[in-house]
Amino acid sequence: MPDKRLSSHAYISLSECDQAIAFTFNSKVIKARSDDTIASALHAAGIGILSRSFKYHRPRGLYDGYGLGADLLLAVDGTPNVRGDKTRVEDGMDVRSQNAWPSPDFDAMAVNNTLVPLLPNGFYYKMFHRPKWLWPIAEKFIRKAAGIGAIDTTGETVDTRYEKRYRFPDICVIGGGPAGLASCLAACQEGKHVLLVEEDPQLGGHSVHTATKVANCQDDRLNGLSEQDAAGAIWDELKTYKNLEILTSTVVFALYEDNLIAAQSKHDLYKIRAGAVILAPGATDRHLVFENNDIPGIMTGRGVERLITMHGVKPGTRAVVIGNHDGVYHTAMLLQGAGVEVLVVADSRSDAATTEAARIVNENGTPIQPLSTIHAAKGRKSVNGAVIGDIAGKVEHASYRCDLIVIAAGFKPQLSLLSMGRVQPGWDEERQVFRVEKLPDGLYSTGDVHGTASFAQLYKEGKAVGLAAAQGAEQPQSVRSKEDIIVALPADIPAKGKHHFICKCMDVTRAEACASIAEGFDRVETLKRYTSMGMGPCQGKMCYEAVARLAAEDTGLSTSVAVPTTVRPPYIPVSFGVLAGRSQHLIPIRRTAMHDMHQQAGATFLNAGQWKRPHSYGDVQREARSMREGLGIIDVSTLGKLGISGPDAIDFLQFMLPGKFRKLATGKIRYSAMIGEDGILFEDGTLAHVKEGYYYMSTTTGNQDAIRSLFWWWIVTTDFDVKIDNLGPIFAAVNISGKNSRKLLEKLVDIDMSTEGFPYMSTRNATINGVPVMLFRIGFTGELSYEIHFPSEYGEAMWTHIMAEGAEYSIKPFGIETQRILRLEKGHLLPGIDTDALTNPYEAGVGFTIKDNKDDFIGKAFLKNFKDRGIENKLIPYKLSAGDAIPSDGVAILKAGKITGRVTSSRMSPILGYGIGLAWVNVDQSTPGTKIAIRLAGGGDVIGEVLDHAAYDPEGVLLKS
Amino acid sequence: MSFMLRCPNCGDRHVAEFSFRGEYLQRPQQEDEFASWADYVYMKENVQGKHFEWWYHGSGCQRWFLAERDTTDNTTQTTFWFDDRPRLINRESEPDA
Amino acid sequence: MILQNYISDDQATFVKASPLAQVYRDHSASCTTIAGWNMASHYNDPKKELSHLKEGSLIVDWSHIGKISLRGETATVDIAKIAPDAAELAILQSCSTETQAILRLTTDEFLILCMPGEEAELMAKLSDTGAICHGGGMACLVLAGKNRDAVLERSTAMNIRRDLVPPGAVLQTTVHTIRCTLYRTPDCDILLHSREYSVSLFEAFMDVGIGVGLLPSGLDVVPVKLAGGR
Repeated sequence: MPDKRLSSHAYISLSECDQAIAFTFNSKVIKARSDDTIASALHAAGIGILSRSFKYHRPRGLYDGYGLGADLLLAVDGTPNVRGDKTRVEDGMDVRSQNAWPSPDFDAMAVNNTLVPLLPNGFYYKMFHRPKWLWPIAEKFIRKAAGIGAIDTTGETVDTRYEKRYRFPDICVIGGGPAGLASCLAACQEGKHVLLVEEDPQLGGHSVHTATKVANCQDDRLNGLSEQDAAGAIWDELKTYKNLEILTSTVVFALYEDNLIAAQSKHDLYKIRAGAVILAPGATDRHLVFENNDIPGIMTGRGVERLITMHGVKPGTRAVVIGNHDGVYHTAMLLQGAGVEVLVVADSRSDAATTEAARIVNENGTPIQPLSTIHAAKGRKSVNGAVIGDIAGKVEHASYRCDLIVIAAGFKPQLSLLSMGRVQPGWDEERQVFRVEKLPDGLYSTGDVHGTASFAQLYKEGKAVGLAAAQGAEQPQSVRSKEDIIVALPADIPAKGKHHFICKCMDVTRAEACASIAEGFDRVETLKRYTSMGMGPCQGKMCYEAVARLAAEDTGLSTSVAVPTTVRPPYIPVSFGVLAGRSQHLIPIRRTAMHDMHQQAGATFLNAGQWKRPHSYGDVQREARSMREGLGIIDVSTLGKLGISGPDAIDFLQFMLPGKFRKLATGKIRYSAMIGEDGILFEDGTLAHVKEGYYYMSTTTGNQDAIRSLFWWWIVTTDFDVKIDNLGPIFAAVNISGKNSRKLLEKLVDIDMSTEGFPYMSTRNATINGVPVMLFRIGFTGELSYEIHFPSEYGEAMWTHIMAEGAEYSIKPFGIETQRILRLEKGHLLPGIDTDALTNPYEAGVGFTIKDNKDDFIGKAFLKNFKDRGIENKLIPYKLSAGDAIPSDGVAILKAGKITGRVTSSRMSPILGYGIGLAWVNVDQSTPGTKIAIRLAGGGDVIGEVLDHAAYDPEGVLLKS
Repeated sequence: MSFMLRCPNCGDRHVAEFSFRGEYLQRPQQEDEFASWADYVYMKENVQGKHFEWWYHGSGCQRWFLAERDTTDNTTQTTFWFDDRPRLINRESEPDA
Repeated sequence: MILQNYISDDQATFVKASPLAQVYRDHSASCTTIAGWNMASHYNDPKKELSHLKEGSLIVDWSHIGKISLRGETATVDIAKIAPDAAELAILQSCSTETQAILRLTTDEFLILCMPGEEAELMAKLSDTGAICHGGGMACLVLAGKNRDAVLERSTAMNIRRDLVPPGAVLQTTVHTIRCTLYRTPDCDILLHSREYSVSLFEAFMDVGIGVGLLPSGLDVVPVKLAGGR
């Protein structure tokens, strides 16, 4: 293995760092320094091909070293799509390549590469359109070939701890380069709470890999320092501010409305809501398009600078350097200092640079070729040559044998986050970059996003923007001097060849883009969708500028009207674990006061909205039978409970509910449906007049919060003087059912329990062991039954007490599933289960709750309309014969081969010995005695008989006994 | 959606703390034609631009209030209690509270 | 009416259980009886728990405190029966003593907190006002300790920065998606919430808190103190 580590550098001092750690890449052990990224360590180890491209499986290697491209998406410790050039190595890390099998060096799918003509743009849409039978087969192949990375399903990574954290700074600065640091400083000096988020482990931005010194800075302390030291000095000053928090190694991947920022810090998701945001994401090397511009060994100027200065890695041995600005000589100088033979610097400008670096490069014997640039790279798995020629791509000047091509073609602002600020960037002809000049209120931007500039200029601008943000002032105008402007090269050097890759993620070439334009996809957004340019893992971070410029050019527009495609979050690949956070954050669980009693009794639970309710305590059929034959108890604490009082309480209820309640005497209860303004049945419950002028209303479990807010809404919008008390959590409740329930209650309370003294549908106050309780004699289960409502802090004690007192009658708890059987035996509907958003209450059989000969009430107009229209369908109870199969809920009812209805609830009745249910049928099938054909889910029919009454105790004798 | 909404009681809050109850509409009178009831229940203006709408601060004070929101960019100019609407909603059809 | 009856009735021999009773059992917490409530006094290492206040954070159950709601158009008049100056409170502010706190939630709603067992006396003063005594319907979890912000920053999407929400301030928002009324005192963040969520809230706190030194503790270590003011 060639050792690419530098021991020294001719022009800069390298940081000392041992190769102390080791990790594995595709099971091979690699040694690394603790300041290495995965990519720099692999490069140092001489591993050039790190992954394969998406479509053609072309080899991919280290390119910009800045995490922008998809070239370095790797699986790290089981997490797919980790950016290898932005992730620090850790001892023992398991790193694997993706999208390559069996290895990135020899990839079987690279056959796609030779199939280029067969895989044109839009091949998904075109190739498999006809014949239709081909698609399912093709799809299987494509699904396997498509997608990047694989999720570890072995479970070895599931113990990763993902967390969500929140921050609320006055000002959030994104980007810790010179401008970002300066704006931080200004905002801190104004006394604001500032949060600085930086993607890299260190602050300083590009200053950390330059040898340039600061000059002409307004802060004289910084003049004469290297840019790196100057950044360090600002950092040191920032550390003295207590109102500043710095998050390094943290990537902002989204910016949403009202300054909500999402940032990833390893496994943590930061949600930041900032008063103001300063975006200082900087600029990165331009992506230059030319023949074979995607081969490993082609790197950006800053990419090689980073390798050398930050990781002490020699990027190659023989380099060709391409550029169009003074910075290219700085890059070339660093290469020379690292012992790289720089064969030529191809500078597209006519005048040679006069900088110190240019002088050194020249003195070192490297020829400088003016008015020229790259035409083509040569090589297959890695670069082995470069062709240099004129800028128009017409005349070749020379060929070089090299293993490294460095592209330093200027910088493109990193606009992703600025675009997420909902502003479309435009081409700035003067500065030769795409730019977002003005962001919405509360968003500021500074630094290289407005075009690169000197450290001094960035510092000055950053300070001004930081101050403006702190004071809530307008964004100051950015200023760039003539010397700062880098005239852009053509986005594609139009020399010969078919492999001019605009988009390296999705393998889209200029020729393919042109072909798609010819097919009619001649707007940049449609072109993007059709070719999938910019839709790969890099989301256009690398190629947006080239895409926009070339789309404009190839559709006959000038660059001045070119627009990049819309940028949407996320800025980097984000794992689902990070987005999800801890599961406990998602949906809370609501437990009744007796929850643990059920758990101890062996209940299985069922989710009823957020509530956990006992499904059953074992055998449902036995539970149901046992209740009917003796005594059962069910926890009904989850019912909504509203107290309604005030001078207009009764008028309000008359308005809210379809029935009439003026004659509901104290101590009495009435069942009521609830109807919406649209006349639809959406809820039911009972209304008890518990005390003169005080009504106690129960609503179903799932609806209680919605009903409460609905009641409040009506109180706001009407003139009723009413008070609503939310008593739901205050009272726990149980229902005691069965023929022995009176006997048990007589033991528990000392009031008259006789049916004369305490008749059906009435309520009484009592005490149980000194605890005041409300008793409601109602009968959802169809047996003699009582609801006991009592303060919820006594939940456990009361349950235990009732179970002990009921033991002599063999009291058994029952769950929701049993309750559903019991109510079905009585033919009671459940809103939301037997009804839906179209349920006409008359058709549902609850017309008896509607008294429409009263003044204005909710739903009155529609109910009249429903009544005039007549009954079209009906919800009917039915029974099957003994031995019939029990249909599943939701199956169809047929008549002469046509669907005429559906079953909404279907169960086996243990007490009756046959199946029963509720079904919606056409009105002509609703006459009692009609036989209905119910189609079983597995095929075949069973015949049900329509009933006109409850299947169990039709006369309600038991209920009223 | 991530915008902030100003609860008249609790101040600026994330929109996820609220539930939405649609446009602010005038409820017809019972003697009105059925068509006006059908409009009230089913026909929404769905304007592109500013309109008045109902919000409920379910995660906070649990109060209902009205907001004037621009549906194109979710900016809310004003939020206010129902009782303050005569002052803030200038509609011809708006009767006195 | 029953709501008022039950709190003035002290004949009940049933023990009042906190919504976290199940958690106490699971953790074998040491319990004590206060005003009829069975409450955790500590989680078996009171010394460690006490010292933890200085470094880490504790979660404590105060569900037994008195909680009375006063809501309606006359609330500002009625509250004067308990504290004459409370009517002047700004919204989302409080006035308090060591044993009683009055939180103003909206123009027409107050929440009164008091020491366990003292709600009967207050309810007597508030008879005929429509005041509601929440009893076991409202639970109360308390975060204490120096490092409790590390737990809170993982628990709520609400901005509760201490310079913006100082001691004595009140706000209502979701914590772990559960609606809470937050009342901040110099030493504690008091989270009042509907009882059915309490176990879930506790579990969510412990889940995020486990990495940042959150321990469950009890009333011996963090006794009820309701004063919010400076």
